[in-house]
Amino acid sequence: MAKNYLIIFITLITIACYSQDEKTLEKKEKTESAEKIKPKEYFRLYYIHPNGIGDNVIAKANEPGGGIGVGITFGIIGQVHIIGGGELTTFSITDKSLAGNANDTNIQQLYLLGLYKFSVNKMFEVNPGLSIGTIRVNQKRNSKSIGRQNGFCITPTVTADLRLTNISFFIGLNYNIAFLRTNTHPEYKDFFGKIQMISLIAGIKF
Amino acid sequence: MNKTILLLIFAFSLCSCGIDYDGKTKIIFEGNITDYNGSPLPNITVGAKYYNGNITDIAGFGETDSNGNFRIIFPGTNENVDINILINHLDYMNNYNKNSYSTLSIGNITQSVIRAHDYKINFSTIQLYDLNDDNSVNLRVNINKTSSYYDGIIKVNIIGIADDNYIDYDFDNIPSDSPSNYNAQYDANLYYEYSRTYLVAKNQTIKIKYMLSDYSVHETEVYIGEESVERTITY
Repeated sequence: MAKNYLIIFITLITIACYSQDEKTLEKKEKTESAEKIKPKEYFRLYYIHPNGIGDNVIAKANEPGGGIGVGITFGIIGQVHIIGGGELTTFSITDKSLAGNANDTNIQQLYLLGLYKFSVNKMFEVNPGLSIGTIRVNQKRNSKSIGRQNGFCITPTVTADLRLTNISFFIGLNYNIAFLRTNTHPEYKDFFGKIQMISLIAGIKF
Repeated sequence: MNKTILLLIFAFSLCSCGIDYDGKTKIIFEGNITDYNGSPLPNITVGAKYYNGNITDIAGFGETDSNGNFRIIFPGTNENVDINILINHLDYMNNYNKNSYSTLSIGNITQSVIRAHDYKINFSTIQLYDLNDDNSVNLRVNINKTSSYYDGIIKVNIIGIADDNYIDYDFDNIPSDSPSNYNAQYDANLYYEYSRTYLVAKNQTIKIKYMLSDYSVHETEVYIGEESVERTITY
């Protein structure tokens, strides 16, 4: 599953790079496209299918549920949209010997995202970006908290957008690496303190 | 108005119930479980239990693998709460004990003990025995008071292969960071006379350790053969 995400991620990055070359050649057209994009994207709402990767507690002791994300564009600098947003994703705990006696892991993120806008043509665009933010991992058993971990996260992202008149549909991939405050034996510091996810996202922008 | 205040107090008391977990702290218990002959025992449940004086909660559990090894990881707490490790007490998935092996609890594992071990405790090898093998006899332990110097007995541990046994992780440790002031708790729970019958495996030497009211630790050994044994100790 993670490999499939990686392939999609690389493909989208490749498309983004290709579109960048195309844009260099057609700078004027690109600028016009960017101008068109600017006023039409204030809000984005999306579904998240998270997937833990690597050797950490999310990947080894949880199975993905789902999640939602929202973002609001509150500034545009050149072709970069500055977006503030939040995400909530859930996982089900599958190995309680590693994760503790909880049922679910909820992950909340607040982020600031810089999204670079590349128009492939009038209908399609590819948007690579990078976000930084805060993250909270909360384990629960029957709505009772079994402990929280806080930290910060860095998320390279890429989305492919289909633009209609007043709305855009998009899909994309987020690679998320989070660093969490952890007190444990040195052997397990990274296992609980550095989590990685690749998430498939799909949603709308308007 | 009064009803509202009472309701708020009640709601607050409900909220304050339970163990206050600290998700950033992860504690690791590991070890190996064998039978009486030293063969590894797979699928033995191991749990970590918190008890704060009011609330009991299982913070983590797991099972031994095919080599008898176990590793359970569970969150710490924001309060000073002792931890017990429960060996083969329950099959947490089915709520019954599905095998015939003896059970063991190891307690007196305080937060300061956890920190001293850098959040990981290895219990090395723990032995259980099959209660169905006609391998059990009784050990009767009596500890009687004869001296007026001591106020009583604080605690007793039977160290050996026994069923339904509780032992301290560090018998000599009088924790200063336990809930409800451990020393006061000890003082309140002094035994003047101690008498209990244990089910123990045959053909072993068992150590009886006891702590008296002045926190002095005493021990004696008793050999268990093919017959039941009664041992009386005076202090």
